[in-house]
Amino acid sequence: MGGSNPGAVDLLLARQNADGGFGFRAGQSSWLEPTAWAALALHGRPEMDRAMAWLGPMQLAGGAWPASPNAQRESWATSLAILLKCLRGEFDASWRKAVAWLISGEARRIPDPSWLERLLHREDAVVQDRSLRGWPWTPGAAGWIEPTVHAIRALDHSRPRYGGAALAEKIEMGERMILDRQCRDGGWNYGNKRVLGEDLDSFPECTALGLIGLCRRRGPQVERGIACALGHWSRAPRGLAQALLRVAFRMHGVAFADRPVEVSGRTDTTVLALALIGEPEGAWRQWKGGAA
Amino acid sequence: MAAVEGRRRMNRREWMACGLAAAACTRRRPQAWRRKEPVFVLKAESYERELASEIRRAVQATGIAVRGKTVLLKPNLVEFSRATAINTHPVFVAAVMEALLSLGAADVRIGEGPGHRRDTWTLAEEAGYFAAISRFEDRFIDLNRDEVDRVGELGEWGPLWAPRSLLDADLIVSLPKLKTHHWAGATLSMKNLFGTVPGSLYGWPKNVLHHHGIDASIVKLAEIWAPKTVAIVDGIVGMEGNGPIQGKPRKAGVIVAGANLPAVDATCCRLMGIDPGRVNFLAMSQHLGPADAAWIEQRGERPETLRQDFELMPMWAHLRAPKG
Repeated sequence: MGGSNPGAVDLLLARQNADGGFGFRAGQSSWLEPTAWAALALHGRPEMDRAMAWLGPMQLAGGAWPASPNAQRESWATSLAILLKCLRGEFDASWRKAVAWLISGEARRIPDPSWLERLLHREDAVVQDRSLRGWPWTPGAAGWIEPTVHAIRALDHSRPRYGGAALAEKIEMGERMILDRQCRDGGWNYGNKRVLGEDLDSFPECTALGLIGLCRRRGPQVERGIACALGHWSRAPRGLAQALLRVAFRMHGVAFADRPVEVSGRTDTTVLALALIGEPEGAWRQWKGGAA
Repeated sequence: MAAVEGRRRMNRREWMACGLAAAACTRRRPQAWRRKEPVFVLKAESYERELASEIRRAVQATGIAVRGKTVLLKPNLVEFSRATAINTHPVFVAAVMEALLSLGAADVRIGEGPGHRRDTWTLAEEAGYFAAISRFEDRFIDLNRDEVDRVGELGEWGPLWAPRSLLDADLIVSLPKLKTHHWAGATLSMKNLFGTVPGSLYGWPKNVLHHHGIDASIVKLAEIWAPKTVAIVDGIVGMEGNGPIQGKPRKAGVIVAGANLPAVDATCCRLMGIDPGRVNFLAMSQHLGPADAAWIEQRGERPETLRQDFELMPMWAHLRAPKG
């Protein structure tokens, strides 16, 4: 770990709070998302054990984790907690409850346009296959790319031990949802490819996420996604986009001109951790799982 | 997956937030206003001229008190594209900061929580904020990842949390861009408050605000923050058509300032050739301030003399104000 960016490890380790968790920035209280990314980046190190020790007791009765002890609401980042438990072989009651919560947590279906709306407009305001709901940021809301990607990776890791057809069906639905939301340029944004008759552009970080969600898939759409991601890479993205694109390229075995993510004491913990996860020997392999 | 209610006892900040909400409720004046709300309109042709002194004049003309206060500027930072004018111009933000410091503000910070882009710092850099604003790194707060406190409820979506930096500030200055909006008709000082909802809890986009109803969410956030929020609108170059992102830049050459958010937004609508009485969120926020011109004291330039009819999407054509 650290590879071409050893300073990032020290920066990350210095962020760990006394309770074992991490905030989004130095000195902030512990939150689920940065703690989960840091734990993945520190996979195999004792600091990961400390992070997991903070995370464990936070689980809510319904199986999900809250985003922060100060905001007791089920968080999309529960998927990251499930992933971590899988990587540690913790297939316990807590894991089973969390997976059950995630499986039951399909996004809201956006109502189809009425016959009148169809008559008045040539196409829907938001063009998408509404049957492919994906996962939401907030329970009960519509589905978007990023929470769907994290749910797929968590369920994919859980599949061998959880059993049942529902889980495989959910993964399939999630992957199809990502494919359906692919932008015209081949990449992804947060989840709207066409709105009010206009095509929307992809974002580099979301394009990377789309590819991470499809890391077990091959085919023309994935190839278009990779081509788009390489286009984003050629424009020298920084920060989160750069960190996620490196992960996506490695998961898909794409050759690219790598360069380390520039980090500093002000870098968001999420970016810091993902910069390490995307190193050649980083935890991207564990995130992908299987024969990475 | 129903949202889980918080079970803790409320802390000091949460009591403060309840106080803000209560203050907003006590300001309910559905029809008759006791006094006119002042709104200052200023001509400003470009970002290259000396803006700070002009903004200082606008702040003074509307009676916005800043001396000794900790101020949080809330620009509109959404996405970045060189092809259009999406965000509050960084030079404008810098000028507001300079003006408020010169008027005796104890501290001025800048906070934003973009709704689409996850990497707020990189977005701010792309949008030119680092280059234009001195010590931007020290002044900026990513509202998507701030500490949070509960400030109210969002209907069936349960508790609403807000960034602590907003609760700690004495004064919030909403700095929107003058834009039309494809879901709300217009996006101005009240809609700009969507950026106060933390993405760490609600995601990118902050979809619960849409499910709750965009207009209802605009009003809800205004009810929470209006008691300590004023507005200074960047209308030097605005956006028309398919805003807030895909519209076309429109040089409007104005700055609008005021302490009452609905009054400021109504004035901005008039400048864009929109009838504020037909804008839903303004109709729904009459308890917070007037949209009716009779209850707005226009200072500086008269809006009707600077009116430019911003292009409206066909679905919003009914918002167009009659001429004359």
